[in-house]
Amino acid sequence: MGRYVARRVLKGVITLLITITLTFLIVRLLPSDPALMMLGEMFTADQRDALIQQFGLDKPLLQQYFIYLGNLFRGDLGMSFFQRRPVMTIIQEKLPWTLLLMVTTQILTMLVGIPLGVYSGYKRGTALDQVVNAVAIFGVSVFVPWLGFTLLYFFGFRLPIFPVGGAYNVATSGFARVLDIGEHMVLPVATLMVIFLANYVLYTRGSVIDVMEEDYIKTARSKGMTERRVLWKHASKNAMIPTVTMAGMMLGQMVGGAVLTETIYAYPGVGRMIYQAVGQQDYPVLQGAFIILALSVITMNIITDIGILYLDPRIKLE
Amino acid sequence: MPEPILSIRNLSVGFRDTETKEVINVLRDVSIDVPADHILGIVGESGCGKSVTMHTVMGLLPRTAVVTAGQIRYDNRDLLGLNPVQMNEYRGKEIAMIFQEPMTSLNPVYRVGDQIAEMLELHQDISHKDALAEAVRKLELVSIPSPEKVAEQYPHELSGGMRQRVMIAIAMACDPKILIADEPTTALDVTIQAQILALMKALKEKMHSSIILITHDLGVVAEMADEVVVMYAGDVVEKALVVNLFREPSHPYTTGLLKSLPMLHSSDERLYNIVGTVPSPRNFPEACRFAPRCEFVHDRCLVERPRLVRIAPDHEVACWLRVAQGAA
Ligand SMILES: Nc1ncnc2c1ncn2[C@@H]1O[C@H](COP(=O)(O)OP(=O)(O)OP(=O)(O)O)[C@@H](O)[C@H]1O
Ligand SMILES: [Mg+2]
Repeated sequence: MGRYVARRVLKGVITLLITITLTFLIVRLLPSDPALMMLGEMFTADQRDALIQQFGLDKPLLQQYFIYLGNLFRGDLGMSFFQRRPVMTIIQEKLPWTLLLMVTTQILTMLVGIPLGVYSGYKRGTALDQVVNAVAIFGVSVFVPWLGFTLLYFFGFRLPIFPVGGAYNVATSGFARVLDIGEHMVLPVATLMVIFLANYVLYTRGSVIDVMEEDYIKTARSKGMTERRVLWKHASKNAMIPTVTMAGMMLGQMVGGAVLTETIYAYPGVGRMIYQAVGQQDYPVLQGAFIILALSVITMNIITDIGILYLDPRIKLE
Repeated sequence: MPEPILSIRNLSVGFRDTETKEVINVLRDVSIDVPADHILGIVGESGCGKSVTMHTVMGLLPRTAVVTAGQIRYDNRDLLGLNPVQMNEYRGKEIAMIFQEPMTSLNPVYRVGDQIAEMLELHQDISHKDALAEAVRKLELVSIPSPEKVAEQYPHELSGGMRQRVMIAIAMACDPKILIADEPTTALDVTIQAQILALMKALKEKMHSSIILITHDLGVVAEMADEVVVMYAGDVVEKALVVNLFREPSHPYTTGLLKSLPMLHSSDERLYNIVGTVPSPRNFPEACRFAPRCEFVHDRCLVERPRLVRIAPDHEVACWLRVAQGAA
């Protein structure tokens, strides 16, 4: 177990290193002036020289690479062109919001999606299953910005029960602040859930349908237990294995979802930061975001791998 | 023959075609009695309805199955009339079942010990801790070496033979009166087969339970069973004590099965085979279902259905060739 996790972490570190190297190379190998790319045009000549010094942009490529690695190691991701602040500081402000949004969404989606998928798979062909299926397929095919704006319009303006943007109201404090943060999360989380729920429901439903045909389900029934126990004890744990695997592979989609929803709801997270940085051609921010995203995806992958290890004893530990 | 503990009476079962909604009949008036402390073999080629019959007893039929007639008497009750809660008082506890595929019959995500303990927890008032300790004793009972270790293992860590022993340990956990074994050794190596059969027989002797042993292998029947039921295309065509059946096989289908046994033909190069195959239920003939493959077929076989008649004490057969004998 410990060795398996250690190996997964090592693999993650290597993946991260490759990502970092690629980021480095992309910026350096583009046919424009890397100094300009990295530093932008809005600095004074003095500032510019200081930064060239710091990043070693006048040195050979290999040396630059080690300077770059050293900077990263110290948590220095450079300066934002637009905000004139260290990228690291900006990310430190934004990341917790995105994590809050994503972790909440994922937990809620699993809690709702997996049981719904298990049950509708079991009740395949019934009215309930057909309704669940229709809703799930709507979720897969819906145009996210449309959904976001629709929710915003109805629940933010027409029936103003939820705040229309931001993450919290500065006028609140203490417990009221916690509640306020929760209220601000409702619409973004709802939007994200519609997108991800479908995957969880449809995957789980499909694997429950397969699992119910397995011999060990016949064994379970022959032991004299209720159908409820057959379904929730013997079928669902097996059915969750492909779902969790899928969840691990869906992380890329989560990044896309974060950019869209955070932008629509003016949510101060990494997604919205990326959207703005693209518009502002703020390369250092984008580069920083890229590295942070790679790090989160790798971390989430390690977590799902450990989850699968817990679900499926057949995974080889060696 | 002694009073049966399980009595299947005139059971007819069909399957509803998912498209046409028409019920295709498979079992036709199947009657089988199982006395206490008795091993009953059920033989017949693939598709003859052996599993369907036993799944009906266990309440394991799929949703498309329709029981059109019959009773399954056990403990003075008709199992077919029980609701699921009542059925679970018998399933596993009084009548247990093991299956053909030990590789896939255990749940891959739970430990062996837990899967045995679950059976005890379902039917007895026992704590999980005590059930786990008891599970180790059940593993000992089925002669598994280092049972403490195996109880902690997952099914994929065990060989097929070991898994079938675990299945037997689960099935026998609550000392059932009847063990239904649906081709329990078909998927195993020959040497392992013999061990598993010997184990089942030893357990039966120890606990005085009955075994219903489904098999393709008449050799296994000869060795294990007290009595044999021969099924063909959803009909019981012959029932007899094992000695009688081998001495005096009376249905042409039984004769064919016996003739195709390799051990009786050790000098011949080629094995005898009954011509043709079991048709699919949609094409089962109306009268004698074996008629199209029978070398003694005559007019009556094609229009009128032969019923089981007693041709000797403990020997019944459903064939027009034997009617004169039976009626006499
Ligand atoms: N779920 C089902 N739906 C439709 N038909 C079925 C179903 N299960 C079994 N049958 C039909 O019932 C007939 C008897 O099947 P059964 O499984 O009882 O045969 P068997 O004697 O156990 O054969 P085998 O030796 O291959 O196990 C077969 O012809 C099969 O087509
Ligand atoms: Mg079968």
